[in-house]
Amino acid sequence: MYFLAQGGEMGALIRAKDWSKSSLGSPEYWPQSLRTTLGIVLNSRHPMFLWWGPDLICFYNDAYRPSLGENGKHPSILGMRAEEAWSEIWTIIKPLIDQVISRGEATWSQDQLIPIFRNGKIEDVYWTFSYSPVKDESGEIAGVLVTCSETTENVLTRKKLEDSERKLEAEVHERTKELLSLNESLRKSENRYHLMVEEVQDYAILYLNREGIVENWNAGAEKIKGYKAAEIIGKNFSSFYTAEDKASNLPQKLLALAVETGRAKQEGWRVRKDGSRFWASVVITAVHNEKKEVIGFSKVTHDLTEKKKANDALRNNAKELEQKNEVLKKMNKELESFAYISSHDLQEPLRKIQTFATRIAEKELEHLSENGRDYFERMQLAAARMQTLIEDLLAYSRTNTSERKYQHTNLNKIVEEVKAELKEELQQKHATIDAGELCHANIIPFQFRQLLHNLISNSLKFSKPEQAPRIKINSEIGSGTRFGNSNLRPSATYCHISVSDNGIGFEEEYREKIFGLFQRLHGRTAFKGTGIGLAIVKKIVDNHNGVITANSQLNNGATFDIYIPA
Amino acid sequence: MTASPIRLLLADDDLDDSTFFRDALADLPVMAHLETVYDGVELMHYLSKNSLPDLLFLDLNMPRKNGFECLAEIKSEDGLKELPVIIFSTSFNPEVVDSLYDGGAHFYIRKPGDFSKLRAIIHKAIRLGSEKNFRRPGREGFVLQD
Repeated sequence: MYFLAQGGEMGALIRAKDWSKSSLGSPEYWPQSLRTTLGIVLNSRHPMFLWWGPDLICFYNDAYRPSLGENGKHPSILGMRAEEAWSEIWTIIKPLIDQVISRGEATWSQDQLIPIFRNGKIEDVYWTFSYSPVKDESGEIAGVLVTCSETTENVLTRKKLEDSERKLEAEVHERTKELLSLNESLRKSENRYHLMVEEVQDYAILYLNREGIVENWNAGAEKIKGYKAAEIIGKNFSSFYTAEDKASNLPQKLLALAVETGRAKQEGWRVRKDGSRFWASVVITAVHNEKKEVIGFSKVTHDLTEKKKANDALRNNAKELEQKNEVLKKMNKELESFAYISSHDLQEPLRKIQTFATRIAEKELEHLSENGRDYFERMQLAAARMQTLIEDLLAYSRTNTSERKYQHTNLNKIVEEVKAELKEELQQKHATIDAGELCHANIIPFQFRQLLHNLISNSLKFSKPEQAPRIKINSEIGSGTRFGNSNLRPSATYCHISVSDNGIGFEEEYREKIFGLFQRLHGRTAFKGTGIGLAIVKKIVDNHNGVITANSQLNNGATFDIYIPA
Repeated sequence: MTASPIRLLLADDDLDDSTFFRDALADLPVMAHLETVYDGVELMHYLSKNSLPDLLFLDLNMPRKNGFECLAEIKSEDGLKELPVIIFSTSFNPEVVDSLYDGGAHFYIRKPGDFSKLRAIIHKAIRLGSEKNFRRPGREGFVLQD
């Protein structure tokens, strides 16, 4: 039994086993080929397995034994028939075994998954193995030798690697896709910037780096400052400033301000490439990275030269206007005081004339001839007229000089006051004043009273002799458009007061003339009066920023329409 | 029994007006003694040197010192403030009249352009001024009308 000598544990097991029941019989009857082969197998340190005989009885060596694990086929399959020993994978290995036996060709399988029952369960194991034929003495194939090694770890590792590689590739692919799309949007964004900024002509939009070097230049910058991009990119933006501004460090100060507060705004003179100056409005904005550090500046410049010119001209005009206004005001004041003073001073000698005349009339009239008396009387009448004229002139100048104290007043109240002033005359002429419910208006009360007094006085004076004067006063509030008067502002609200009578009226052609100072339509003998009444009325309407119109037909009464801003 | 003549003082710079006053007074059935001064400084000087007249007719527009100043001085000085002052003026400005009433004058007369009216108003002023218990009227009676 020398072939079983040594042979390790398996050798011992084979020696110890009872082979009498096996189809191989006891080892002393085993053929030489089997013994030789076993000898090789048992003494090899490479895992080997042997199937011998028609039953394919199993033999294996110590090197193979670990592959059977615990709780598995060891040592039970020693001497067992292959079909029985390898029932779980018989369908897999039988074809291979048959191939070897029938064709006498060895097989080679690499990293093949052949599950095996061991360690109490079926384990997935990868093997690299070869089945090769073993011939006996007769030259027939009597057995199949298996040389194998477990490659599970390798296979699994390799698989893991492959998986990793695959995953990595997928990720790279994804990432590349992402990057490509980001790149695309970036490109689009830059494009849009270019279109947005580059082509703007009215504003110079530049990008400066942290030190103020020009890095970007647009069409507006070229237009406004005169440099082409190639000429200015890389240069410091202080080239745009005047010598005085450069000397006082204005460019650096503006950058510093932008760094500190985010933004620097300034209006001032800048210098073009050709040296000419323009008035610029500049905004320098600091640009930051995610760490909030300033990495550069955007600078927007607008050429305001034309605007400045227009503004300066406007300011000069306004100044001129103000000066002219002051002169006018002064002249007006002088005129007003002149009117006041002259009419006041004229009264004194007039009074003397009148007083002396009455004294003479008292004492000396009988000494005069009839003619003399007549002349004397006419002289007195002339003096009396001068008196009225001066008083009217004083009244007129007073409407100019007095303060404009507006009060929200019920116009009916004013009408009542005027009625009281003219009580005697109204009674004498049997005149009636119909005042409807009048509106409240913002007026200077004593001036408005004068206005109504003059209008009503006129209506009484210019009444038809046989007819009792009837004066109607009405009012309504409406917008400028409503009243159809082109002198009214369409959108403003007015209080419209109308004073109409049934007197002798006047020809339509005189409707504007009658408001003139000292304008009369009749001779002195027909009607008394200085012709100042309506001039005063118009002045008062002017004082209220209003409009007055007169409408009449001869012998058909007259209507005065007054519009006062409400 | 004859009453003593009423002593009148006229302060007016205008020669014509002072002639009118004197002529009018001559026409009146009044026993009066008239002195005339021609400006405000002369007036104050006269008052300091002489006994108080019974009535002072005071013009407003006088050179050197005008009627307003004189009225203020008179009404602030002991010995002068009981002197009844009748303002005698050509102008008529309601605000001015108010301030003269507040200043302590007794009457305000606007010089009329008719001689007979002038005479009548002077007569009225003297009559009222001669009355026993001649007191300052209320504001409504301040402006003397004929």
